[in-house]
Amino acid sequence: MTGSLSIWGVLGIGATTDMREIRRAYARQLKITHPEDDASGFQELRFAYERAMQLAAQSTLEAAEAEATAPAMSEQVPKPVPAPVPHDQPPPVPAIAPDEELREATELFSALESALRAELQDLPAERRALDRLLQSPALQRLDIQQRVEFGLAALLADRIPRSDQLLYAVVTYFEWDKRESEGSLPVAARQVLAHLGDIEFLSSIKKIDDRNTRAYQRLTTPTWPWLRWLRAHLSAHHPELEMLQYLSHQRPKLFAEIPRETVMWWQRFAQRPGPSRVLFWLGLWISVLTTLGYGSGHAGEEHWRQHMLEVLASGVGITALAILAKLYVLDWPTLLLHRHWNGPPPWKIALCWLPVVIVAVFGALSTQTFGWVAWIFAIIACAAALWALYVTGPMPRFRWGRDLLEVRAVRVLLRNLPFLIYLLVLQGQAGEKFGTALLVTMGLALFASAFGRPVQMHYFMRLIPKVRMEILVCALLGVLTLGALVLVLRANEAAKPWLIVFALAMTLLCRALPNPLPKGRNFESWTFALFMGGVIASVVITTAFRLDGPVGEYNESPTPLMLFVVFLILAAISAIGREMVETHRAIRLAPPS
Amino acid sequence: MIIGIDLGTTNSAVGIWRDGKAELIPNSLGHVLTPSAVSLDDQGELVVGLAARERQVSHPGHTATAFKRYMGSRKATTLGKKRQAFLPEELSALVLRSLKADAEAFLGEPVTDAVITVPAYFNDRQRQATRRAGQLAGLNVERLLNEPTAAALAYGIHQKDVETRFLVFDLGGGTFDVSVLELFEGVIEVRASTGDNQLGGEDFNELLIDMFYKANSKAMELHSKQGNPAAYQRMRDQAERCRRKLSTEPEATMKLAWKDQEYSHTVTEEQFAKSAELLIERLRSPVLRALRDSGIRVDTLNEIVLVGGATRMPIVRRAVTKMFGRFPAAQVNPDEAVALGAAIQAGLKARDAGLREVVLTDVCPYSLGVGTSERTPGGALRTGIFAPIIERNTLIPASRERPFSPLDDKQSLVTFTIYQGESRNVVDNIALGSMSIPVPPGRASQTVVNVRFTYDINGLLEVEAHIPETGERRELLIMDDDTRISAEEVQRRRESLAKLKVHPRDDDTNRALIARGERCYEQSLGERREFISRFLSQFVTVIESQDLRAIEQARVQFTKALDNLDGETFL
Repeated sequence: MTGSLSIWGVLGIGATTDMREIRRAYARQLKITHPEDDASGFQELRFAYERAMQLAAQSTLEAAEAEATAPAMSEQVPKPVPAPVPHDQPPPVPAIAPDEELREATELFSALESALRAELQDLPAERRALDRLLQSPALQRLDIQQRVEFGLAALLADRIPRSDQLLYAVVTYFEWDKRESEGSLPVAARQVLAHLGDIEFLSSIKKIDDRNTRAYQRLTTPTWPWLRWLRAHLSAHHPELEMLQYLSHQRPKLFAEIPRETVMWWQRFAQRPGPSRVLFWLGLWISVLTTLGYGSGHAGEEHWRQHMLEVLASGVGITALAILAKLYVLDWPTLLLHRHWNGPPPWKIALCWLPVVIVAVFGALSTQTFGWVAWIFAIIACAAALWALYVTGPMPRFRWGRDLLEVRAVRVLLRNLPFLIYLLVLQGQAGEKFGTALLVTMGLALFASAFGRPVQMHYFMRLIPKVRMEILVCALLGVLTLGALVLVLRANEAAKPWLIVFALAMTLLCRALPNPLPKGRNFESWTFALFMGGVIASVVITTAFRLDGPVGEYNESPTPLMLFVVFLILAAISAIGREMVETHRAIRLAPPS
Repeated sequence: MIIGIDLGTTNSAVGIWRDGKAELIPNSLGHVLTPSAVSLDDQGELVVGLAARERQVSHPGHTATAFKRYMGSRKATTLGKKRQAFLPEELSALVLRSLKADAEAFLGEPVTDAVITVPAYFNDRQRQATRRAGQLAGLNVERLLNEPTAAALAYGIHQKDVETRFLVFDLGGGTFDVSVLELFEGVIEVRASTGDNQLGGEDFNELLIDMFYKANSKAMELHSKQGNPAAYQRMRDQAERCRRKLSTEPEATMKLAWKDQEYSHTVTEEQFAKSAELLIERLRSPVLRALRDSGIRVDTLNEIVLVGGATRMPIVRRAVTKMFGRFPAAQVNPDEAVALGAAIQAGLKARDAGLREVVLTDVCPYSLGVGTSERTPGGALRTGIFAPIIERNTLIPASRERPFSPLDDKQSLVTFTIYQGESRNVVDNIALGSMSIPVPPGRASQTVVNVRFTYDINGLLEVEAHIPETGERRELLIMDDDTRISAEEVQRRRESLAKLKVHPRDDDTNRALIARGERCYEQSLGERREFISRFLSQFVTVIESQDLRAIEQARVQFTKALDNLDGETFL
């Protein structure tokens, strides 16, 4: 605002803390930059003047604080643009009977002070003394009222433990609570208001019993460190962190009362990423499933005990592995990445679903050789899926009712259900050829793609329309190429898993990309084109399997035509369902005006 | 020449800076104060001033007073047989026109420029209306000056050599203003300005009306205080006289003639003081707020200046003395101070060589901002939160900017509603206007919209919204939302007002006297009424004779007779 000149340049004097000189300079300049003639020049001058006065005031403030006088009837702390009384000013017109009223007020004030400082606490006497002071007619005089206000503020700030009951009365009388946001409030009054806030907070802690109050109690009472660790790591929400944040900003005195060690522990915890309860259970479920799948190879009832032990052992081991992997392989890097930019991460992260697909390739390949390796890969696949989940953000807080559809997980489920069913059907037909590993992996790949999509879309939207079209065209070409490849390579047994995976990847791409397209006529045509691409791909795949491979395996199965029809229906349901969900969401979030 | 006009609730005055001093210009009756009253007589001709005020009692349906309280609103008053509707600004324009005519007659040259005073606490709408009133009267309003600042000028604050601090306590007919000013090195700085737009001498009158009404309503068969305008205006007139009398005497009586019966009520000074306790209490909080906002210690004030007719009341003087522990300054006539100050400002405006160079800076007495919404942690939307952009008591001219961003990504438009007030909830503040600016959809919540408020020295607000990303810019000059009043419409209204016929100036004294006689006739009974009636018809006959000397003599006699019956005319 001051442009190229410093504040002293605008004022036309050298740097000084002499307020009178600053004023003189301001007055001189003001006659040149008249506010009526030069509004912007005046504002510049005024800013320079206020800043200079502020700097000057701060130096005199420190000097004044160094020579503190008695707390009663203390001086007003100067405002940024203070109005000092020059020494050669003629004294104000003498009051009518100044000594009389001032003396009375001083007497009452001293009486109150001595009541507060007395050895024995006598609450009624203190109250009486305060009432006498506040109701005395001497306070009708505004200057006396001002003095009493400052004196009382200093006194109460000083003697706080004893004077709690008087605080409300004083705050109400001088309207300190209403003036909290104003600059005219004395510093000591602010301290009193802060203390009052602390008292109210503590009393609400005693009365209300909810998450936050329990968090506060846990913070203030000493507890076993390992219990704290366990509780912190197992819960999805950390009210202790919120409470610490609140206390450090709003209640500095109470914050200081919390044991230092606890604060340090929580600070370290906040910086270290932690697992959430949801993912903990997810990891457990996945590992149980995989172990069951692994264990299902064993036959016979006589091994059920050993089987159970195996399940248990591998379950526990895998869970531990999952948690640790999540903590230090996924969360830590994510946090580090998030520290550097707000909003969605760069495109490297945006391709988070790609590793899942790559891993699925290995999974598919491995199914044919080493079963347990397949499971390891499956677990890594789900870890990568969790990566995608975590990076794109936490799940929104769950609300029942209409908001059910808002929860991303539910939407994802709805969207992906047809494809999961499709895969199940496919797997049912193909038997062990695909393996549960692939099924699980692909399911998770779909989840990951769903979660990763917002990130992809964000970056996709940033591209100029020309580039977007190019990408879509490439996708379509890819689908057609795939079709051709399948037709050509269908005889090659080894290439089949690759082709399947490639086909599914293309299907995912076709599903993911149409969404960020602009609404309108183009949208429908592109969606349709890509949808048809996916349809063609699926038809080609299923036909390829029918045309080639052991006929016997497929004879009992429904015809590919039926499969194709099933696929069409499922895809249509999925597309329509998604549209419905999106539209519903759009209507709900339309701004009010 | 620029004239300075004090457009008050009860009385108005006009002054000029001439020959090195400020002087007030007398009207056609020879008074320096002109009551702010407008009336239409039976022929549909215009009556302004004392005559109109007298007609308030005799012809309440044809007269309007105290319309300054409704300035800025669309409240129309209907006058005359034809039930012509006038807005408050049009009524003020008629008063201004009369003052303009007085000035031209006094100075012997046409007058086109004026400085008009407004209460410091007037909001934007009210200021615009005052400006329009000036335009409708054919005056170019050079500057709208705040009344407390004008009063400080009248007290010669600009002539002092040392640093001085003033507190101006302005209790007028309808408004109460408190301002804290500081003079240093030839700069007069308004440190803080607050007030109460609904507190004035009229409210004290209401107390007396209440007392009279309580005592006499049954007997007079009145169902409500304001139900019968004729009765109410008479009570008001009596209350005003009674209040003035109580300033000097320990008790006063209000008398009313109603339906051939006379009703009265006597009030003592103690009774009045007791009933006025609440009003006196209301005087404290604006003073406290002004002192706090200014950051000045009470005992460093040099002068407490009383302005406004209502400060003549002993109860007000006592309250001020109690508040400050010293006698307030009242050397300048409290009724004239503001007009004299306006004249001084007019002189400063014209850069008259006689005035030492003094620069005046003023403040904006209220906070200006926009209404915003926020999302609570639970996801709900809370609307109607006031975000101030210019805080109160900011020096003007001021220009402040604040960034905002839309709440929702899907928004394509952002609407800003501009409010004036101090409350955190916009429902308690005054809405001045609104404007919209389009935002790029799809990324709306990341767009930053800079809103700049520019408040100029006359208290007119300009709002500008600017989006740096897209380069969109929208501007709004705050005007009355309901009617965007164009220059053509102002011209049209001015012409329609000009059509109202005014009597020749020389007739004014006679007309005033006749109006006064008619009022006294209304207020009296029996023998007195007969007496006045006879005197009136005699006077009218003498006027028709056109013998100037005879008219002069008759006028003097009639005035004396009325003075005996009525008490002297007050202004």
